[in-house]
Amino acid sequence: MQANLAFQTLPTLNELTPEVLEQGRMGEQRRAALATARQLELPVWRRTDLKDFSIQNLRPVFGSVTVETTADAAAQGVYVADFQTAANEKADLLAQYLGTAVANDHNTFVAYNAALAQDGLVVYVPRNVELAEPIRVTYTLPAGGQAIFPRTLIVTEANSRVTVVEEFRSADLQSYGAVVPVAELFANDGSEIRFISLQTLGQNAYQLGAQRAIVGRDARVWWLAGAVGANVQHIDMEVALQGNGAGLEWYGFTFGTGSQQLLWAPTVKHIGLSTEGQIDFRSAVADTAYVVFDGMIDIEKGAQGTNSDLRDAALHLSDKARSDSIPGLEIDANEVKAGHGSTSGQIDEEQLFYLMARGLSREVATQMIVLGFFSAIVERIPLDDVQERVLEMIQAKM
Amino acid sequence: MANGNASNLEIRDLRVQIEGEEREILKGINLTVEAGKIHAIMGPNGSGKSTLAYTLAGHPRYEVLDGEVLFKGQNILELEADERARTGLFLAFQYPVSVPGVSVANFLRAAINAHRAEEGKDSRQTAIPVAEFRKRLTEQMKQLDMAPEFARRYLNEGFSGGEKKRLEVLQMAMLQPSVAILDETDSGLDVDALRIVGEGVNRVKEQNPTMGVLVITHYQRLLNYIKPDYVHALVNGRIVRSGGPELALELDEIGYKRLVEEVAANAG
Repeated sequence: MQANLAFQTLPTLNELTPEVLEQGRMGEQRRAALATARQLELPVWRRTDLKDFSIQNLRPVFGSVTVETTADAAAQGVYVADFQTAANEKADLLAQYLGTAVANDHNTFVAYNAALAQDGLVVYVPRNVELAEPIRVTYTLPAGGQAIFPRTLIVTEANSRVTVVEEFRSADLQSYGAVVPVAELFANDGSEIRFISLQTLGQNAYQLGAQRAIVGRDARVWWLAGAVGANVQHIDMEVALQGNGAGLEWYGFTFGTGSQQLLWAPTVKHIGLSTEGQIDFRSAVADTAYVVFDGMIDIEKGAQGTNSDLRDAALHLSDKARSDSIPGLEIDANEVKAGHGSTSGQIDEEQLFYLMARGLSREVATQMIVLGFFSAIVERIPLDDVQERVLEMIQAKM
Repeated sequence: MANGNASNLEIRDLRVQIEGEEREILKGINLTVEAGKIHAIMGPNGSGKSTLAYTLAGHPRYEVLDGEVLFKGQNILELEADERARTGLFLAFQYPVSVPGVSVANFLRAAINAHRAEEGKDSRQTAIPVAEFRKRLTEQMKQLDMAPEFARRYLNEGFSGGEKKRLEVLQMAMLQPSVAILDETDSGLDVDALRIVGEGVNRVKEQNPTMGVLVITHYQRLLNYIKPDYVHALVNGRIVRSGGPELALELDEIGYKRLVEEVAANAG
């Protein structure tokens, strides 16, 4: 199945009147969210510079999503649809889950997403169904002056399994615009969601979003976050390990060049007993780019037996490139194992010399060391084509 | 490979200091490593042995104050480390560097292709076919007693001392240089590893008889496996004696202390 919609452009957010939003229950929610979005101040983010950005002057556009799934999914009873179709067909599912992981008033951008999300992906996997083939979704920012509001909802019932690969990109790599994604993932007991979210937007785009997962008993989330595009990115992410024995493997990579400012803020919340979290993010930063890793382990009261580890590393490829790492650790339980480690540094001159002493030019040797740096992440990707895509993304930055 | 072109390596009046330090380490080295011959340089710690090796390979930390090194018709001191390597110079490191995420096989293939691209500048020679590369790699690894998994491991990462030195010899075997400098290749090796590495070097030399070899070592024991044609004693930044293989045994017998004292007495 492939859904490919025609573009529909709305007036700018400034000029938009609530009447243009649809009727019915969904429409009411959208109008409420629009009012919320307009009431909320811009978030104050110390490490994300929004001074040249105004979401009010952008025009929302619909039709940016392409969903690819397989006949197999339908045959196994897996529901896969773009968001608007699901809003019509699966009202109960949306009523149960939508906005429960990421509240509409989380910030003004999330509220705009709640008001304007038509493009998106809804996946519902029934009990005991394991879907081998991944579901793929692409969001394309069509042109300058526009904003898209992708919405992802993934629900896996007990002992099921699904993989979703999403990518955000720009049709025109020069255009100024915004992608405001919100994703909500619900891995119910014993199920597994593998979520791969890649960002390859053009150099003048803003990516400002929130993504959350709630993980049930003995359920697992495997998550890869990758960003090489956009002028500014601020993605706020959280995984709540709610059920006993819930598990998380979370990997991320960023490659900042030019004057890009790319921020990830992943938090893992340990709530259930004996939950396990592993976070490993890596960034390369060149030119005058700036990358931020604002990671957090939060072990709540009663979360005994937690085992959590958070690492991040930044590789600086120029003297003017910057990175900040702010790993945090909050522990309210006593029988836990938790650790974090953060490294940053330049390319090792001795490594460079060793490779050059075998005939590789400085350029090729540098590329090899950078690829080697990312390989700790790349080699964990369980899908060959995603692995190749990630290598392409990294190589395109060198 | 055309790298196999025979050439002497002529070191003339080479004076070197470590960048940022006002202390001369090599104080005028004159030495010609002849094509097809094995030269050994022996000397005590601090005599400048590793400085010589790194300087020849082009490490940026070593600053050449004077002199030249002629190889294949040019002064290679004017070339970057990678250009020297592509000209056919090879350094087996005393302390091979680990490079996480870069596999032995990928690295070797890239290195071979860099050499081929250099040679093919005029003839549009292309990258080595994957099958040919695999075949050569498998053969050479087998001869060095290396398990096939070795090719997938990351460069020197978690390698034992013996594995590191074997990897150096493997690289030499794959790249077939015109001149190879072995910097204390025996350090950190037990007797078995020493034999495997020594035999490995000899095999590369047999396959490539015009290759010149400069063996830098503190101890005579490596020279039981790699038989030198000439032996030179390096003391305090100068070659103080040169001779045939018998000099190695003599140095081993009298010890460097006596030699250092002799040199000091002569200088006085």
